[in-house]
Amino acid sequence: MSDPHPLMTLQRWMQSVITNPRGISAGIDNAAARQWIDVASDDVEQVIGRSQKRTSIERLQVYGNAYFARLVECMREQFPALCETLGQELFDGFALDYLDKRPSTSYTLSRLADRFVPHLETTRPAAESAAPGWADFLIDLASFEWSVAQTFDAPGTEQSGVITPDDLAQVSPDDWPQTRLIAAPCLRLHAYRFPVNAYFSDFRAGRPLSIPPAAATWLALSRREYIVRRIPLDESEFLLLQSLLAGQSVGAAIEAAAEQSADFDAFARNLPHWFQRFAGEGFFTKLVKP
Amino acid sequence: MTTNDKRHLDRRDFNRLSAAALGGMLGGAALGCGETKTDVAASGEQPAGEDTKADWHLCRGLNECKGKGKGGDNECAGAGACATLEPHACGGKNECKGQGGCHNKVGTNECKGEGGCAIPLMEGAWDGAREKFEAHMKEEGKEVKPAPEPKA
Repeated sequence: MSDPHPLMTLQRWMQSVITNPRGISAGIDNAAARQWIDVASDDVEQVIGRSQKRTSIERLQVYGNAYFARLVECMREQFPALCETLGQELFDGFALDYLDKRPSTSYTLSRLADRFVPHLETTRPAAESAAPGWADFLIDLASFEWSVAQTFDAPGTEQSGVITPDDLAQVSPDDWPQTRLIAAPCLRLHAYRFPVNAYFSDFRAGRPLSIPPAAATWLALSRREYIVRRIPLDESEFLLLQSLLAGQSVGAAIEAAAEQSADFDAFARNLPHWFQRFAGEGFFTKLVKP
Repeated sequence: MTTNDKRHLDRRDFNRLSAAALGGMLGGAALGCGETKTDVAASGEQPAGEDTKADWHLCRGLNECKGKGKGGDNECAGAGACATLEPHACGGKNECKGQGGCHNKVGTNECKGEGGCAIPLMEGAWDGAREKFEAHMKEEGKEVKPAPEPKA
C-alpha cells in the first residue's frame, strides 16, 4: 500500500465511493472520488487493503450496499402505505431510482425524501386520459405520506398554545369580522385527486387495500400534543381555511367562501361547526384584532 | 332567501354568518383538544396516535414511535431528528447481519463471495407499477387501456 492518506482525504474519498449508486468500482473511477484520491478501481488495494476473505472492492461494497439499504429502509418507513401498495421490491425500485437521480445531500434523514414527490411527477408516464389515473393515485399517496411526515417534524403548538376562550372573550362581535387568525405553524391544507386519507386509514387498520376511484379530497393536516391529526374537509371548508391562512380577515374569508359555495344554506348550517372544529383542533394560535 | 345556489351576501346574511362563526369558535375553544376527534371520527376509526399496528424504526408521522425514540420518549416531534436506527458500522461487528443488499434482495446479506453484488437500480419502476395496476384491474374485472408513450 502507498503512504496513508490524511484521514479527512480518505473520508471524503470513501464517502464519494460508497454513495455512488452505480457501485463501488464506478465510484472509485468517478471524478468525484478521484479528486480526493486519484486511484483506479483496478488499483484500489493501494488505498484499501484486502482481507483474508475479501477483496478491497468487496470490503467497500459492504459499506456501499449498507448505505443504500439503509436509505431505502428509511424511505419504506416514510412511505409505508405506498410501499404496501406497490410491494416492497417495486417500491425499492422507485426509491433507488430516486436516490440515483437525486442523491441525498442532507445530514438528516428527515430531508431524505424531500424531492421524492417531484421526482415521481417528473418521471411518471404520460396521462392516459383527462381523468386522474393510477399514476396520479401513487403520486397523491406519496404526497400525502410525505406531508404527514412533514407535519410531524414541523414546529407545532405544544409549547406556544392555541386560541383560548379567554382570547375570544377579548374580541367584540363588532371587531370579529375584521379580526385575523394566525394559523398554527404545523397546519397545512391539501387537495388530492384521490381519497388517499381514507385509503391510508384502511392501510393503518389492516383492512384490504384496493386502489379507489378518483374523488376530489380536501384535508387539513395538523398536530396536537405530538400526534398528527388528519382532518377531512368539505370543499367550502377548505376554501374558507385557505382564505384564513392567506391572511384574510374572518369576515372576508367567510364572504369569499360563501360566495363560492354551491349551496348557501348548507354553508350557513355548517359554518359554526367548522369554526368549532378549527378551534377544537387548535388550528389557530393567535387573534389579531383590527 | 333563495336556496341551493350561489349568491352575493347581503348585510343580514353576513352578520348572521359572522356571529355563527364566533359562536362556533367559542364552543370549540371551550371543548379543546380531545373532544373533537375528527381525525378519525368520521369512520369510527381508532385515533391515529393509539394505533399499534405499525412499528416504525423512524419516529415519524403518527406517533407509533411513542416511547421508542432515542431516549425512550416522543419529544422528537417537531425536531426532525428522531431516527432510532442503529448507527451502521459493520467493520468487525455483527450488527449489519441482514442489512446488506444483494441483487433484488435488499436487506439480505447473501452476497458474500458473489462479488459485484450491489443494490440494484431499477430503471423501469413505473413499468412495474403499471403491470401491478393492470393485474389489480384484471382481478377486479376492469378493462385497462394500452400504456401510453412515456412523457418526453
